[in-house]
Amino acid sequence: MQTLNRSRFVRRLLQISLFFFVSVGAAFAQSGDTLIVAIKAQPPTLDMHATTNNLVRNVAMHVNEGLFTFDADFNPTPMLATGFERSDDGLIYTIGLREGVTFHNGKGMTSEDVVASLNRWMVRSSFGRTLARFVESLEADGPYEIVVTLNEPVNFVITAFATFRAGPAIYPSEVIERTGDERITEIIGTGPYRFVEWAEGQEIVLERYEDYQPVDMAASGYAGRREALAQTLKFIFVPELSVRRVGVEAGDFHMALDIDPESFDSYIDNPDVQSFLGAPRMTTFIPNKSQGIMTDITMRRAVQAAVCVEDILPVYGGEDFWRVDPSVTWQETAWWSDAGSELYNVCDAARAQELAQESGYDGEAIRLAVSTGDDSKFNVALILEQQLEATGFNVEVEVRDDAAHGAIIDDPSMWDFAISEHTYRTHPILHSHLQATWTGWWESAERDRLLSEFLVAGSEEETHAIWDQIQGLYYDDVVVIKIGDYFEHHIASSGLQGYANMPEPFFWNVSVGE
Amino acid sequence: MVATMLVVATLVFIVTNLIPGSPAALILGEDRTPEQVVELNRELGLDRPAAVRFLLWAGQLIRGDFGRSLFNDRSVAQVIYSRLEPTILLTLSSAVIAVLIGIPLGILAAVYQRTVLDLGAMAVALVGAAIPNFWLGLLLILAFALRFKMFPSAGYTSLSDDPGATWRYLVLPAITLGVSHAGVIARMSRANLLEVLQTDYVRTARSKGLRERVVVNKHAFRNALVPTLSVVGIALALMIGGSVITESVFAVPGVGRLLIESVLRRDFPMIQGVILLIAMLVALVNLLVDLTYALLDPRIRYG
Repeated sequence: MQTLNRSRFVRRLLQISLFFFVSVGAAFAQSGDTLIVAIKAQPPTLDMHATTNNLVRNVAMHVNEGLFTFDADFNPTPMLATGFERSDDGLIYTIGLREGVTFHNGKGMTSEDVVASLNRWMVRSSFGRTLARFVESLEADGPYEIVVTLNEPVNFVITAFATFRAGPAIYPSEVIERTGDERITEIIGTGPYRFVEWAEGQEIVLERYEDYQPVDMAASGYAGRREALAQTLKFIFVPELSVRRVGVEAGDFHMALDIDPESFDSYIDNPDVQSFLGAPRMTTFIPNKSQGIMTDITMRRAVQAAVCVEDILPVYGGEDFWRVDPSVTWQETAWWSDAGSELYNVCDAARAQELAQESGYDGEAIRLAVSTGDDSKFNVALILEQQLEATGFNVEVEVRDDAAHGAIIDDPSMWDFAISEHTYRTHPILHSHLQATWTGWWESAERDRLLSEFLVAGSEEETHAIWDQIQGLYYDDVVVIKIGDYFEHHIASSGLQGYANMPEPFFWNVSVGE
Repeated sequence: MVATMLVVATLVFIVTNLIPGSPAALILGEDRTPEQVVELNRELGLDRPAAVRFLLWAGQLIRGDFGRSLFNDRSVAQVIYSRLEPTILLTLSSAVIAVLIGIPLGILAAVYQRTVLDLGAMAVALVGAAIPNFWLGLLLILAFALRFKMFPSAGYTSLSDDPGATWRYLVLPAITLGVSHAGVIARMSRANLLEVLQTDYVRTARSKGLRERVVVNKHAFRNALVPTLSVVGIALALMIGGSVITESVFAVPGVGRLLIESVLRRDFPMIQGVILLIAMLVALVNLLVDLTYALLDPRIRYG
């Protein structure tokens, strides 16, 4: 009798459990007009001027727009501007603004907002500061025109205005005024999506801006007609990589950014998942040129000669995900160059030993700093350590988390070499290595001379020729030792349509099908 | 309790400020310049000596102000408040699962001591306690989110937005967290019940001719519950601060995940605020457990 009761109890328990699971399953359904994008972390802010952090750009670029942007061929193209005129001496840019564009608070955009935003950008943004060095004045000329007067006829003004990362997003002037020296918290722009909610640690919710005024031009790259096809755009913070993947496979997310390249093959024959090779990035090995053993150029050349990139790059996954390329600018831009390539991927241990001997290297430890933020950087460091040890160098790999690495990397007494992964950018002037103040501290009178010529060069041929010389100098001075290019990997559910797969992922003109 | 919190606050400040790291470098990103770092450090108040920062922070605390996050400039108290709901719901639902699985397993093992049932129950308990949270979490996601599509794989919806969705998001994380504690509770319940079953009053009850079910349920179980309750209390306290992995795997925006994110970002005021809160909650849980003893055992009196 007791046995009977027990088995009846077990049966009842199973029935209840089954009912529970089935009812829950039936109750869970995906809402239709919402596009859900899983990103790996919460951005620190949505103030585009304040940081070059990619997470900030990925979200905020849907809310805020700039005067120009890039088309599919990476040509700067008007966005909030109607176009520009450059004076014959190259010192005055007159930029017209589109009429009828409104901010998400209903206010019409005028030159007052543009001047206030650009002035703030030139103070807050690292790229804005680069341009600010050449700006004599920035003034409104009527409600729909601004005039930028330069102190030198630099040629990257419109490129700088088109950039996304730490780019010159246009905010209402009253928001700029209220914000003062703080980070912007009133997320108001002119974009196809308006900011609705930031659920702390969980998600950022954007909604279609119904009064959005698109550009009267076919969509091309980031440029042209932008349309919020999904009513709601949600960015959900999902730190766990495998869960971002499963979330797309299960249909919970429509897109997941920053997926491991190793998973690429598993999606080739999967009809439910689309796989995208994302932005190209670059890995470099940066010598400390300010203090320590690597201030000796012969030592830097010795290390440069020892590096074999083909043994290192497979850490980024299958062959689709990396490429051996000497250029310090990407093939996907107009600035590719092979100048100095004879010093790239030399992989000559005997030459390295000869140079090390010439520099008087006595086995002193070389501190190689790496952060744990991405597994790939750590793996690159381990292979480099093996290559350099095999050549006779004494390498000490120092591993820290991102915050600790970020602190020591700004201190020249703390490291000799560091591994760096660089985000894609469209113009050489946006490269931080060009600045003497950037990590690695490259001081060079020749670089300064070439750079000033580069910035004011008149013709395209002339500009490219000077850029070739600058890249040659990169290799001669061993500013960085380039390892190679690699690609980001993103995945989407099969229902996602219209995704342009530009280096900076965006979701206007993207819809969610069945 | 005030003295405890004072000691915790001081220790937390010292430890968090000893960790090397630059929040400014993380906020500004890859292309920061040294001037930007200096400016942001000044803006964040990190250019001041640690002793000055401690005095300023302690002064704010006395006024009930936990300060502002270095990472996103939000009020620490508000951020923690917004993250409390999922943590509390997850902790409570996990505790219910842990108790619902752990105590019956323990009773079963004790009553059928040295039988296959005992061995089976203890094997289940051991596996539950030993299995890593992240692995169990991923297995559950693969099975119930990907394969059967019964639950969402990750995320959270607030109770105020959609209560129905809230618990759907919590089922898998609650099972993950609950199962790991159920094992410990099962083993402790078994041990405690076995001890009680060997006492004189149980032997007396049996000799009176009472049925075994009455002996166990009425006489033994309630007495075995007092020490088991302290294990449940400890489990609750561990879940409050220890749900970091479960919250990360399931992207639940709770306090545990906030703590680990803040440590990685070196968001000092946030780390300090979260640890203080966790210490306070643990102290409160212990107090509640102590008070519950008196309800279960009439011999215990306070006052």
